[in-house]
Amino acid sequence: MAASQKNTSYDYLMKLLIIGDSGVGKSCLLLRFSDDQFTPSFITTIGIDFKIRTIELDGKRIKLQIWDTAGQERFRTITTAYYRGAMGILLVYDVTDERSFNNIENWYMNVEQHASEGVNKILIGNKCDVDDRRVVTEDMGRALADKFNIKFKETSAKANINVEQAFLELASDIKRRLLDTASQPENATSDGNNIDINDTQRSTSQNTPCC
Amino acid sequence: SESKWEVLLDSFDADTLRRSRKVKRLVQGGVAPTVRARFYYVLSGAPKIELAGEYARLVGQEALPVYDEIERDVARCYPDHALFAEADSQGQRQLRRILRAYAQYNRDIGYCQGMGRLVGLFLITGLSEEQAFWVLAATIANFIPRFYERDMGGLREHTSVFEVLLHERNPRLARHLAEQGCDVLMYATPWFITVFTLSLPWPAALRVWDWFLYRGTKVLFRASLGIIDLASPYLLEACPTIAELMGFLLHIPPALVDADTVVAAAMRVKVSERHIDRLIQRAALANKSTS
Repeated sequence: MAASQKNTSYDYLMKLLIIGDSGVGKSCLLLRFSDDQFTPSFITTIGIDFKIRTIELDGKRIKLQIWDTAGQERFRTITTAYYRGAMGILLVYDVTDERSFNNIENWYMNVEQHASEGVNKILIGNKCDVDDRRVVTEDMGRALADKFNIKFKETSAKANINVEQAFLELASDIKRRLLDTASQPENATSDGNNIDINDTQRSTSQNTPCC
Repeated sequence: SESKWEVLLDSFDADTLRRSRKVKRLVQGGVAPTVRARFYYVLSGAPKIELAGEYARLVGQEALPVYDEIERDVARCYPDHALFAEADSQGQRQLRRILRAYAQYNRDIGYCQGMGRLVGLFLITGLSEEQAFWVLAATIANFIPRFYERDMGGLREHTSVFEVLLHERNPRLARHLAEQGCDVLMYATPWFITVFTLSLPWPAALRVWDWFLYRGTKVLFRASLGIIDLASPYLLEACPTIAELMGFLLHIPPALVDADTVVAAAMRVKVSERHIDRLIQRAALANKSTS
């Protein structure tokens, strides 16, 4: 922190990516998290959009760069280019839309195929405030997350349920992973994920082993 | 004088009109709102492909699976416009029918997100539902070929051509964008896929459209480069990383790109048709060899 005079300084820069079928509420989740707002009249995301929010975790300032993607299948050829640089991925479905839940398998395969190894993931069942049209139960969501061995949260961007928690949990998982890899010298340069995580030389030298 | 334009537009085909000095002046000053619908209809080439009764037939076809994808976007095309704001408004119903009819009309393309912005534009300018459908079909076929196809090959080719032109025109900015990892597909996808209807303030988008239908695909590049010219000082001075760069390019401050400014900036961009054609051919070849 002291190494930089600007108040925009941060200790970590993390790139997150939000994926999932069209209409599951990816942009709404992001708007809730970045601006604490909700609008029912959202414009379809064309291609890719992104927002920034800086959070604090265990006394460290973490700048989150969050990429929001178009959900339509044909845009995947464009959006998969961004999987590579992502450190964390939110896989989102809509609890009122069974197909979006079934498609998570495909999204997950995409991640396996295109994202960096070890990328942190969380499964999100959005629109959990809608009781009368729910078709995917919380147990179904959790079972799928367990199958992939990833975290799981049901959220509502509209009612502001669990959105903050989902992003923070993902960020803290990433932070833990980065610290773990940084403390293992043989892995320190093995993966693109490890470079540029720290804003300043100073904090880099704090986290990497002395050599 | 509006009726004079109407007579003119009704009497000649698109190619003849393109050669007319009068029409050129009309476009340069911005097509009058009362004439715009007619102008788009004729200049898009719609009259040449329109078949009587065909639209009604397409609307009456059995549902396709892609209707679900359309449905998810009907309310999300123009949520802030009076014609489309209300659920099940006339605007939303027309939009839905036109997109469905297009999916029937061109099953290879079906439906691609972004098409709804074009349909909305046509309806807002005052075209009837049926005419808006034919203007959509003609625009896709004649002006933005293969943009909306499943592999989005046309989009990829045109954005890669834009990237070459950007390097030629503003190498310093092109380098800065590349160094920060700002891929052209990131910010130019909404520009090209919605032909600026998502990225420019409405009056500016209309002026670009007037010119686009008059002069063709080349206008996409000139307008994009014009926008870049206007944004360049900010991008170079105030946008050190991808975060600021993308923040700026995906949400261009409206004050920077008002209608006259954008058109003037685009007019200052000189690129020859031949150069663009050659680049597009090269991009198409490169695209083929990678896929």
